[in-house]
Amino acid sequence: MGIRLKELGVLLICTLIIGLLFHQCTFEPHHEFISPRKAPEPISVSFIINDPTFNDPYYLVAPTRLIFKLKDLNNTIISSEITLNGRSIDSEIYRNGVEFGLNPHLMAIGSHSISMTFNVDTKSGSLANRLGAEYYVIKQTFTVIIDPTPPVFNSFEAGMENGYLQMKWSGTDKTNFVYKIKRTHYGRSLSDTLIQDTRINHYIEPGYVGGEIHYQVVASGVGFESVVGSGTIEHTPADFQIAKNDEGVPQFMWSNTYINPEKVQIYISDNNPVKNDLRIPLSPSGSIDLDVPTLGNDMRLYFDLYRTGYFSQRLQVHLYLPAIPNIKPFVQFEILNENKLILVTDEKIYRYNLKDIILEDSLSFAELGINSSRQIVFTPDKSKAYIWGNSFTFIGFDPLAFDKFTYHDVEFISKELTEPSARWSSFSLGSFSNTGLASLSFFGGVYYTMIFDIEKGIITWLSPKGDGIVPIISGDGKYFIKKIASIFEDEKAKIFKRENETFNIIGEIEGSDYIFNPDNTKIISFSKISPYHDLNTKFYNLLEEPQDPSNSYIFSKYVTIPNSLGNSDGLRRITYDPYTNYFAITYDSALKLMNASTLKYEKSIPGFRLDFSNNYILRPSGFIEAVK
Amino acid sequence: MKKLIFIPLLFLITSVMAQESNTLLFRVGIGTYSMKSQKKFQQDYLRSSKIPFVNVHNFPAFPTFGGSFGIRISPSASLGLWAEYASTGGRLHYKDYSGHAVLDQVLKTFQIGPFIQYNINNSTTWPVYLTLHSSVANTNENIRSEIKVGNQTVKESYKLNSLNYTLRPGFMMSRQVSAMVFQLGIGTELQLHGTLKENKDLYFKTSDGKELVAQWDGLRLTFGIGFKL
Repeated sequence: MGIRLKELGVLLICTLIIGLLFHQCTFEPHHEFISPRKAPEPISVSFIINDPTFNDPYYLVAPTRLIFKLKDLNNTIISSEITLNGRSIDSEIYRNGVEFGLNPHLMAIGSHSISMTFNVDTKSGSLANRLGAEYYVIKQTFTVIIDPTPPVFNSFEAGMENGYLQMKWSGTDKTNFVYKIKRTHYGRSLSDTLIQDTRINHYIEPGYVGGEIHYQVVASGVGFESVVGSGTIEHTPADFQIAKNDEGVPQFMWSNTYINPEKVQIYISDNNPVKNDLRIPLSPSGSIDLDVPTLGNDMRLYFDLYRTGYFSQRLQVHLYLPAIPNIKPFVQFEILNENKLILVTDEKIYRYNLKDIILEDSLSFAELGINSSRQIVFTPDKSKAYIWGNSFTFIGFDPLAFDKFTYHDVEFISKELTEPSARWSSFSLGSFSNTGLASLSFFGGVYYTMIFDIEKGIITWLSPKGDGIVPIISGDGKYFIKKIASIFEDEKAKIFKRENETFNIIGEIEGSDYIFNPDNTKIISFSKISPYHDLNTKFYNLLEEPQDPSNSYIFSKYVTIPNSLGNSDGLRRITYDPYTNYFAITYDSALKLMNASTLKYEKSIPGFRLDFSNNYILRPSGFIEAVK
Repeated sequence: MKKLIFIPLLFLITSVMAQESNTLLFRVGIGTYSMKSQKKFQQDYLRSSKIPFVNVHNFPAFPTFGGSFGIRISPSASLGLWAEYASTGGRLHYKDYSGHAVLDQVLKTFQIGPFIQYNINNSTTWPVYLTLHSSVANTNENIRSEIKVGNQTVKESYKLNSLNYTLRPGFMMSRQVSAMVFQLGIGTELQLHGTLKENKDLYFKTSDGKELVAQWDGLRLTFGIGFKL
C-alpha cells in the first residue's frame, strides 16, 4: 500500500469524470425523417349516372337501380352511405360506383329525399391517408317523386313512311312514365322497346320488313299503363317470284320494293335450289339464277328477309313454281322406232310424236271393249301390241296407227285345262315374239304356262301342271326362258329351243330375271342373293349350248350393280334399252346408264325414279325430256 | 443502479488492493456492433407496415466506457478484472403534415470479467501485449413504437433483456510516464447470444424464424489512462 495522496486525488477525479461520461453518453435516437408531402387540395365533383334521363326531381316509374360514379375523377370510393328520408338503405360499391335500388311499390306516393355520402380516397399518400384516416367526404342529395297520375295523349298515327313503319303521337309535359313499344309479328311477341326520354313522340320501327305486325305504344308508370295508340298493318315488302327465262333457266326475281331496302338482306339457305348459302342485299329490283330442277320436280324457294341486327323480325317467304307436265301421266310407256311414244293411262292409250312432244292419237279401253286399264305387251320390233281383252280374248293392234285390230280367242284352252272343281279361270299375257308366238299363263284351279301360236291358234308348248311362271320368248321365236327355281340364292332357268314344231331344253342359266338381246344371240340374267344385296348381271351366249342339256351355260361377262347409292337410295329397277344398248339403272335419286357392251357407266342423271328409253327420260307423273 | 455500484467498488478495490507492480486503468473506446438480428427485426417491421418509414438510425458505432485492474503475476504477464459499458440503437421514422410514426430500438450492455495479458516484445519503453478478455454481458433493450395522426396516438413498448458470453482477443500497447500509465488497445468481440425476453416469457422472432438477440460482436478500440500501483 503506498498510494500517495496526490495520486489518490487524480484517481478520484478520473473516477468522477468517467462516471459523468458514463451517465451522459448512452445512445439516444434523435434523427427524424420529415416528408415534404403537402396536404391535398379541396376538390369539386360531378356525377355520371346510369340513367341518361336522370333529373332532380327524379320521377320513379319502376323498380330501378341507380349507379353514381364520379365524373373525371378516378379516386377510389372507400365507403358510402345512402339514406332515404333519413333512413339508411342498402348500397354497394361496384367498379368504383355506388349502386342502390329504389322500388316505387315500396314507397309512398309523393316526394322523398335521397341523401348520398361518398368517402373518397384523397390519394395524398400521407400517413393519415395510408392508415385510412384521410378521405374526401362528398355529399349529394336529390328528390324522388312517386306520381301515379297517367299522362294524357291527344293523337296517335302510324303507317309506312319512307319504307319504314313509323308511329307518331302528341307529346306531354309529364315525366312520371316511360314509353314501351310493344309489337307482335305473326303472333310472336317481340321484346318491348323502352324509351325513357318522355320528350320523344316519334318512333321508327327498325326491324319491320313486311308481313303482319301488331303494334302498341304504352305509357308505363307507377300504377298505370296507358295505351297511347295501337294498330295492325300487313305489307308485302316487294314482288317476289320464280320463273323460267327464255333459255329455260329458273330465276328468282324481285321488283317494286315497298320497304326501305337499307341494310335489308335476302337469305337463301343451301336447302334451296342454290349451290351455297346466299345473302343478297335487297335492291329495288334484281334476280338470281337458280339450279335447274330435276325432271318433274316442282320448284320451291324458301328465304328470309330481314334487316341486319333484327333477324328475329325476319319475314319468311315461300315461292312455288310447279312443274308442268308435258305428257299425260301414265302407268306404262313404250318408245317406238319412228320416234313415237306410247303411253298407257287408266282409261286410254296415247301416242305422241316425240319430235315436238305433240299428242297424235288416242285409243280408249272402252273402244276396245275393255272396262279397265290393262298392260300392253309389245313385240320386240314394236310393230305389234297386244292387250288382254274381256273374257278369253286378247287383242292385237298396230301401235303406230291404232288400227289393224286382231282378236284371238283362247277359250278352248280354258275348257281344256280348267279343273272340274275350279270356280273361275283366267289368262295373263307374258311375252311375244316377232313371229307370232306368245307366252301365256293360265289359271283354272291349277296353273299352266304355255307357248301359243297366234297364227295357227294352237299351243306349241305346255308346262306341267302347277307351273305358273310365264316364260320369256325370244324375238325370233326360237327360244324361250323358263324359270324353274325360286329360292333366292339359287334361282335358275331352263333354256328351250325350238326344233321342228317342238321346244326342247338345251341348258340352264342362273338368275331371277332375264332378257334377250336384240339379235337374240345372248341372254342377260339378273340375280340377287337377297333383296338387300347387289344385283349380279351375267351374259350368256345362246349359241354356246352346253353339251348336256341338264348342264348350265357358262356366262361370258359379269357385272355387279349396287343395290343402293347410300342413305336408303335404293335400286328400283333395271331395264335394257335396245335403242342405245344401255342398261338403265333407276335409283330413287338418279338414273345411271351403263353401256351393255363395255359394262362402263357413261351417264348419271339426277331425278326421282326416272325411266329411260332411246335417250329420253320420263316420269310417270307426266314428264319427258331428251337426255342432254 | 449498476452505475451506483460500479464507481465506489472500483475506488475501493483500487484503494485497498493497489500495489506498486499493479495497474488501475480507466478506458474509453469506440465499438462497432453487428446487430444482425436487430436489423432484421427492423426490416421486418418496415416491410409489414403501410407507413413509408425511413431508417434514420441503424445501430451505429458508439463510445464504450470501462476500466480494468491488473496484477503482475510474472515479468511478462498480468491477470486482472475488467468491466465495460456500451450502447447503440436503431430508429424507423416518418413524419408529415398529418402525423408521425416511429419505431425505436435502444440497447445497453454492461459486461464484467477476467482478462490476461502477455508481453510479446520485451520492450520496457513501448511494451506490446497480447490480451484476452472474457466476460458475462447483460443487455437491456427498450423497443418503443408510436403513431400519432391528428389528435390520436397509439403507443406500444417492450423492455427486454438477455445474457451473452464474450471473448475478446486483441493487442495492447502501453507507455509508462512516472506513475501514470497510458494504453492503446484493439480487439475483436466475439459473443454467445442469449434470447432477449420480457419477463422471461415474451420474446420476438424475426421473419427467418430466429429469436431476437443482441449481437454486440465487432471491433473494439480503447484508450486507457491509469496508475501503476
